[in-house]
Amino acid sequence: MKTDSATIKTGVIDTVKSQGPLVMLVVLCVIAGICFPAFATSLNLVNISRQISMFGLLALGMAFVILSGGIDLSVGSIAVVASIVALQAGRWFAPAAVVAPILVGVAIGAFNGALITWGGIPPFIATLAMMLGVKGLAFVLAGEGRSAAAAEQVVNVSGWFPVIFRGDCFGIPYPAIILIAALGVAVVVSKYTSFGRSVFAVGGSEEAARMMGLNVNKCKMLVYMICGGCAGAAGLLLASRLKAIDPTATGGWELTAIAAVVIGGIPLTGGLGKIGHVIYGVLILGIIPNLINHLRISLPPWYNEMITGMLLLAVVLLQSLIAKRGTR
Amino acid sequence: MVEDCLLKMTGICKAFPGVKALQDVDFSVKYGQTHALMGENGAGKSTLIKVLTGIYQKDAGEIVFDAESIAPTDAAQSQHMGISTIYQELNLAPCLSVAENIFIGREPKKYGLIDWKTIESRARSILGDMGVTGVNVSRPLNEHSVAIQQMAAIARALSLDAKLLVMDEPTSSLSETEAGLLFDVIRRVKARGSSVIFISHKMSEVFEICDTATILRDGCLVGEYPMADLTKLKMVSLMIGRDATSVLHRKKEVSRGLDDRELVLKARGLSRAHRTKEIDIDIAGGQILGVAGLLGSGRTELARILFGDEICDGGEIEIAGAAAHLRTPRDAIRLGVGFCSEDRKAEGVFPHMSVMENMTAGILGELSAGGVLSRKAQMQVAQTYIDKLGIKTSGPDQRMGELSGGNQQKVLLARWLCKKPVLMILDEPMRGIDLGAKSEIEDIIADLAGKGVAVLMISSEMEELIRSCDKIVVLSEGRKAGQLTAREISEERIVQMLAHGSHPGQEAVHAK
Amino acid sequence: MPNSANTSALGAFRRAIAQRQNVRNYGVWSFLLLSLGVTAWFTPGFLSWGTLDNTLIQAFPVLLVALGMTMVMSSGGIDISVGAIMAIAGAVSGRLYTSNAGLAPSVAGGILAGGLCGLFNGTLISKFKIQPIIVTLVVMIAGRGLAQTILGKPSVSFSFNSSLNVLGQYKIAGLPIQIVIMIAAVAMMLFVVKKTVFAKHVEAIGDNPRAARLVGINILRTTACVYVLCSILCAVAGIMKVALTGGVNAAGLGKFIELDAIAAVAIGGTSFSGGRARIFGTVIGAVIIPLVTVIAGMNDMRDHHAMIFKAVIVIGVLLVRRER
Repeated sequence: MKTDSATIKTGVIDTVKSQGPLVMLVVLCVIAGICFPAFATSLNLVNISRQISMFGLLALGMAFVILSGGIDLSVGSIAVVASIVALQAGRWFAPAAVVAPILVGVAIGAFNGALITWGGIPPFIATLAMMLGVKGLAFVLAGEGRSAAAAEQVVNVSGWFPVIFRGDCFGIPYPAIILIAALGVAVVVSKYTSFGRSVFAVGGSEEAARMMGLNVNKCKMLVYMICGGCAGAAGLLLASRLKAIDPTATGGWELTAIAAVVIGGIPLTGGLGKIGHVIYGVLILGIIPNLINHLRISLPPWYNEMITGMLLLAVVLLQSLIAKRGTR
Repeated sequence: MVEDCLLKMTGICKAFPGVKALQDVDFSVKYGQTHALMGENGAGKSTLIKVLTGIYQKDAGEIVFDAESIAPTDAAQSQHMGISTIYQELNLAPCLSVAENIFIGREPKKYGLIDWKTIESRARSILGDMGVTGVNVSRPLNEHSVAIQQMAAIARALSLDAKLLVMDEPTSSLSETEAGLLFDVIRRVKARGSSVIFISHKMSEVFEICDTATILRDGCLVGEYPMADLTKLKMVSLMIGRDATSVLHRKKEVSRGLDDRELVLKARGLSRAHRTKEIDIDIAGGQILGVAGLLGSGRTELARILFGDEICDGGEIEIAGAAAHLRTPRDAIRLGVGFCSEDRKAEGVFPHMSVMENMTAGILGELSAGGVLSRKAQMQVAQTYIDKLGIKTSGPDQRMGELSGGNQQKVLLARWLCKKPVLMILDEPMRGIDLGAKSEIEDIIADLAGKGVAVLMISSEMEELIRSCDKIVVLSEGRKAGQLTAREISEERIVQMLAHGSHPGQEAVHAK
Repeated sequence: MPNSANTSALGAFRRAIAQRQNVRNYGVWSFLLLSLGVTAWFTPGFLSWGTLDNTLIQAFPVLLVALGMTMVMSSGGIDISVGAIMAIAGAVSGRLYTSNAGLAPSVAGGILAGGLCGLFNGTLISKFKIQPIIVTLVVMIAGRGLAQTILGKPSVSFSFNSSLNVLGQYKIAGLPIQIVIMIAAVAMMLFVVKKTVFAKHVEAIGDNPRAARLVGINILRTTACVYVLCSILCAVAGIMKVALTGGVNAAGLGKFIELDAIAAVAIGGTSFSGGRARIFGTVIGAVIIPLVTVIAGMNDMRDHHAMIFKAVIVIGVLLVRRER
C-alpha cells in the first residue's frame, strides 16, 4: 500500500517538475484573466501572438544551440541584418525578400559554427564578438547616416510584403502560424531524427558523443546554422513589420530568447529538456509585458523593465523551488 | 602467419609533448581469441587502444585489420570498420534513455523518422540476451545504477556486430554475478568468430577469460604470452619489472588490542532515504575500519553522511566524544574529519591549480595572516609532504592535472594529513592506481593509524581490505550485514556475508 | 634506471608545456602589437599625450568593470548586470546629491547600493543555485528600471561647479582622478589575486566546485563576496562616470558595458570555465577595446566600423590563443 501511494506521489512530483513551465504559464494566464477582463479578448490574444512570433523563432533556434551545450548571443544582430537584407533584396527582386534573409542567417550561423568547432573558441565569446561584428555589418548595410539614430529609414516595399506580418488566416495571424509550424518541425527534428538526438548526446557530454562515433563537429555546425536560419526568419518578420531599416531594432533580443529557453526548462548546461516546452517560456515572457500594459494606468514607462525583471525572477525562483522539492 | 591475425599492429609509436607514450609496440590479435592487454597505469594500454580506434593519431607504425591497412582518424571510422570499443570511463549520454544510448547514431527508422518502438524492443532483447532483465529501457541512463549503465555500454558495443570488441576495464563497476554474465557474453562473441581485447586490473578475471596476454611496461612491449604459461605472480612481476612477492603478500600483523582504546567515531542508527538503513559504526583511535560492500550497498552514502556531505534522516553521530550535527562538510572538517572521495577527478583535484595549491587548499586560513597568504609557509608544507610521501613531481608549482593517478592521490592524502585529522574517511583510496603506488599508499594509511588517527576505508577490492584493516564491516543493500574483527577476517567470510545480505540478528552471530 | 628516466621525461613534458604556453601568449601579444602598430602608422597624431589621456579616460569604466568580471569568471560565473548596477549606483548617488546629502554620503550611498546588488546576485546564485547568467539577466532588466525609479526621471544633470562635478575633473599630481583610481584598483586586484586566501578559494571554486565544497571552502560566502566585489567596482565606475559627465542618465549609463568587459576578460586570457584570474591580461584587454574606438574616431571612421574592428580583434586573439 505504502509503495503505491509513494509511486503516485513521485509520479505527481515528476509531472509537476517536467510540466513546471506549463504550470507557471497557466497560473499567469489565470491571474491575468481574473485581474484584467481585457486580457482574454481575442484582439489582445492575437496581438500577443504577433508580438511573440519573432523572438519565439529566435528562442526555437536558441533551444537547439543550448541543448547542444552552446549559446548564441549573435541572434539579435543576425535578425537585424536579415531584416535589412530582406528590404534591400526586395528592391531588386521581390521573392528574394523572403529567401535572402533566411539564407543570410544560415550563412552567419555557419560562420559562428566554424569559429566554435574549427576555431576552438568558446561559444559565449565567439558569438559575443559576432554580435558586435554583425551589428556593425548591419549599420554598414543600412548605408546612410553616421549614427544609430539617423539610420532608420523607410523603404518602399511591394504591397504583399507587410502582409506577412499583418495578415491572418481564419483570424490566426500569419506570424503565429509560422511560429507554430516551426515549433512542430523543431519538435519532430529533435525527437525523430538522428541529428536531433545527437544534439542531446553532444550537450550531455561532447567527449562521450565523440567516442560513441557521432560527428560532433557536424552536429554543432548544424545547430548554429539552424539558429542562424531561425534568426533570419525572425528578421524577415521584423522587416515585414517595420517596412523600414533600423539597425538598432533588435537590441536585447538574444537575452530574451535565452531567458525563454531557460524558463522553458532547458538548462544552460545542455543535454536536457524538451524543445516543445520552449513555447511556454516564450508565452510567459510574451504575456508579462502585455500584463504590464494592462497595469499601466499612471506608472511612468520605466516601471515596465522593473516589473518584467521581477516577474522573471519570480518564475525562476519558483522553478528552482519546484526542482528542489522534486529531488528531495 | 598474417592470415590468422585479425589485427596486427607493428612498430606503433606515439608521443605526447615530452612523453613517449608508446615506443615501437607490436600487438596482434588472432581471430576468435580473447586477448588480454596488461600493464600498470601509464604503461600505454589505453593509448594503444585509442590509437587503434582513431581517437589518437599514431606517429609511426602500421595497423593491419582484417588484411587491410587502416589509419582511422576518428571513432566513427573505426566503428565502421568493425572495431567497437567500451572505454574505461563511461562514455554515454547520461540524459538519454538506455535504449537510445545503445542505438544512437544508427537508429532504426520508419518513413525517415526514428522508430522508437523498434529501438526499445530491440534494446530489451539485446539486454535480455546478456542476461540483464527488468530494466526500464525508456528511462534516462542516469536514473539507473552504474552497473546497468556499464551493461548498456557493453550492449551498445555488442549490438554493432563488430569483428573486434575492445573492452577497457569493463568490470570495474560490476558485481561478480554481473561480471559472470559479461564473461558468458564474451564466450559467445568468441564462438561467433569475433575477437576480444580485454583490459582489466583484476587478475583473476584475466585468467578466467583470456587466451593470450600482451604485457606493456612504460610504453614498451614486454612480450606476448599464452595464458597457460603465466601465473599471477609471474604476470605481476613482468608488469612492474621486478619481483612481486613482497608487494602481493604483505599481511597486517593480527590484532593490536585496539578495541579498548577510546572511540573516535561512534555512530548509531544512521539512515538516509532508502540508501542506508540503521547503520552503527564504531572506530577507535588508531584503528582501521574497512567497509566492504557492492556498488549500491550504501557504502559511499555512509562515507558522505559521516562527512556531512549528505544529511542523514535519522541517527546520531559522536566524534571524539562530542555529539556532532553535520549539515555541511565544513561542520565535519571543523571536528577533525577528513575525506577522500572515490572520484578523484570529479571531487578531488583542482586540475588547473598547482600541486602546492591543491595540497594546502584546506589550510589556507592557517597559512595566512589577515587573509594574506604566506607563499613561504605554503611552499614549506608542500615540500615537506612531497618528500615525506615520495610524490613524483617536478616541484610544488607543477600543475595538478599533469600528475599520474597515484601521485594525485598522494597529494589529496597530504591535503588532509597536513590538517592533522582525528578521523580519516577514505573512499576507494587505491582505485585506478598502479601496484607500486598502491603499496606506498597502504603504508601511508598504516602510518596514519599508527599516529592514533581513526581510519574508515571503503574498498571493493577484498584483498586491499584484508591487508590493511583491523576490523571490517560488511554492508548489503544499505544495511550492516555483519562485522568481522582481527582473526575472523577472511575473504570467504566477507563473501559469505555479502551473499547472505542482511538478516536481523546476524550481528549477534559475529559479535566477539 | 626507470626512475630517473621518468623524472626527466616529466621535466621535458613540463618544459614543452611551458613553451607552448609562451608561444600562445607571445602570439597574442605580438598580434595585438602588430595590429596597433599598423593602425598607429596610418593614424595621424596617434602617438600623443592626448590619445593616451583620451584612451585611459575611456578605458576607465571598462577596466574597473572588467577587473570585477575577471574575479566572477574565475569563480566559473558571469555577470551581465554590471551596466545596470553602474546605473543604479549612479542614480542613488545622483538622487542623494540632488537632495543635498553632501558629496561623501552621496558617493558612499551609491557604493552601498552597488554592493547590495552584488549581494542579491551572489545570494541567488549560491544559495538558490540559479544559473548566474539568468540571475544577472534579471538584475540587468529590472535594474535599469529601478535606477530610473530611484532617480524619479530618466536623467538629471548638475551645475558645472558642483562638488560632484569638481570631483570628476579632479587631478592628483597632474593625473586625472580616474587614472589614479584605475592604478589603485589594478594594484589592489593584483594583490588580491596573488596574495589572498579569498582569491585562491575563488579559483578553487571555479576549477572544481565539488572538490571545493569537500575541502571545506565556504562556497556561499565566497561566491557572494565575488559578486559584491564586482558590483562595488561597477558602482565606483558608475559614480565616477556621473561625476565626469556632470549628470545621471539612468537609461543609458553603462549600457552594453558588459560586452566590452567580457571581451576584455576574454582577450586577457581568463578562462570562461573558471580557474586562474589573469588581472594583467584583463588590463591589456580593457585598454585595447576603447583604444579601438579612439583610433576609429581619430580616423574619422564610423562607430559601426569600430564594432566590426573590435569583433575581428577578439576573434583574432582567441584564434591565436586556442588550445588544440
